[in-house]
Amino acid sequence: MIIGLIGVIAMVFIMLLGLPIGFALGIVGLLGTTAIIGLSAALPQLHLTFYHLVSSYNLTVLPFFVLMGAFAGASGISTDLYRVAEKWVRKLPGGLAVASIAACAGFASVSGSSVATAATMAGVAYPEMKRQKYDLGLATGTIAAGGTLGFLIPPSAAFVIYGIITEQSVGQLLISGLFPGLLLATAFALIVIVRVSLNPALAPANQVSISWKERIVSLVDVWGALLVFLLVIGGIFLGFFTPTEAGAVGGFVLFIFALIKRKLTFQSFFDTLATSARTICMIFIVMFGAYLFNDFLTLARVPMELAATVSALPLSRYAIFGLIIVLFIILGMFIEPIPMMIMTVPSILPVIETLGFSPIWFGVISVLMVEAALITPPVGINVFIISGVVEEVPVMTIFKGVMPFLISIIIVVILLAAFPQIALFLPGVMMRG
Amino acid sequence: MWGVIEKTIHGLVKVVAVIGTFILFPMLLLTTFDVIGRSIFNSPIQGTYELSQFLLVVISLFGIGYVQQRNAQVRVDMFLNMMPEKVKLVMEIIFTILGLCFFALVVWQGVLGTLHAFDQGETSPMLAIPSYPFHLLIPFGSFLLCLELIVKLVNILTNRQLQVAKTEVLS
Repeated sequence: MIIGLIGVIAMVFIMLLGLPIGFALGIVGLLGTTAIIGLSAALPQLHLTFYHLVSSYNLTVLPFFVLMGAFAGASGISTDLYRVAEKWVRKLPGGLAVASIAACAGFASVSGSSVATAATMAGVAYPEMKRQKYDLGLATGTIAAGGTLGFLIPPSAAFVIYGIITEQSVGQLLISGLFPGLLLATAFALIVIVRVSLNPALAPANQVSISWKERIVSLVDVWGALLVFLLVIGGIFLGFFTPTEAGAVGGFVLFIFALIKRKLTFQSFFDTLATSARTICMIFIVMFGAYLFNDFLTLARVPMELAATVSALPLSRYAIFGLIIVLFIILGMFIEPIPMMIMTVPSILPVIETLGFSPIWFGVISVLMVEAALITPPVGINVFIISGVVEEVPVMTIFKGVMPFLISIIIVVILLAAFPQIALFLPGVMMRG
Repeated sequence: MWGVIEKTIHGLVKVVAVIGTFILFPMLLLTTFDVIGRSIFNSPIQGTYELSQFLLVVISLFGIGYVQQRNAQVRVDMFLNMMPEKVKLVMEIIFTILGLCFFALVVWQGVLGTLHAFDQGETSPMLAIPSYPFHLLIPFGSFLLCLELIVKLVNILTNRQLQVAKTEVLS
């Protein structure tokens, strides 16, 4: 236990100094394992662990989910979603911002990546909001927050990674994110509506009315996204697909869409593949280090002792859960969200299970905390992605605009703690494939 | 002279990464056609599961050197950026050497692990493909990563300046 704690402190220290996270985790993991079982037993773990990681079938879905987002962006689905959503919610206060959230949610249902969702929607929704003289903080903050839905609404790369590091069913995790994702999207929309109602100057109203007939006809334009979503998520839900198969089929269908719409050049096709390949390589280096580090912590009995110690504390399980949430928020300020989850969840999950919480439910909570970290200052990735696409808006303005949405993520976490069924109902009734 | 070596290493790593990138699409098609074959023609593609595993090994190990070439390792650089330029330089040298030592160990152990897999005659269950060539990719990919770390180290030591080019983020 003591050696485990020394390892954790050493790792956090060199990571904060700036050593790449994968290296920091791997080096401390190797040294710690050596201290416990000796060098000759520790060294072969390097090869075994690495090979075990990169040859794991469950991980093959990761590039597919990233590809789905990229092909969906290339095929122009985002523009269609936004146009249709705008027709339906135009009359609400802050209609364009509400439409952005709806379109983000729609795009999230065919994309497994939050960053792809934010980047794609920024290109589509921001110019329109700017043209109608929306407050720039509201406009950019809405897209940064809406983009985070990419990880909660299935398909989702974040759930895949959680499932792999915790050995939970990826299919159940993906399905469990659906209702919480819709809940969060609704909460985001309410935030916009309340803010604009209190301060109408943020978003000038659009007076051009639109008939119901026009609204209903417009739905035809989003059949593609709907088809892919039903195919992928419906297929997983009914047990017809494994998540990997669903990801491959979804990616293939979106590829065909992009081809038919003539939106795909050889260059953009290659860029799409290259981005996906690079993303998984970056994640794999971190995961390799994290596997070594977590094997060391397990040898040092840290997760078990931690679970025993924490559950013996004279605190209610909700108080402990609250402390874990605070820990996630603090870590999320410094560490990229997905690496944060890869590093911490294997040690925290035994505590969660000892307290009697469901590991699937905690998957949803973890992904919500990843989403919060995507927009938390000082290094919220989504905010920087938006400021990369929309260069004229200062980063500080986006952070201010996104703050209210951050609060609504916390509210959804509290709701999920009070009513776990929001997450657990669907996986409970799904067919087992 | 050094310029030529540097260009050669960068070029080699990039070519390997491009090959890995292109393999991603056949992997997607393989699983898609397996599903179509299974559900429509009742004839799945034999060994899809293990072929996907092997292809994932190729894609990931062919790409890690390029991640290093782009300086795209995931890191917390907030505190590092607050340091004076000189301190940053020294830290970067130490970090690069640490990374190099670590991945040099991976190369060494990877070779031993591959020899072990070869001796055991490990094959995949359905198609009986020997697994040692894929084990060999662990030391191969890690070696390319080491080469890139050496290039970085030499560049820092000779130019005494950092090329910080972190544009990538995890999606």
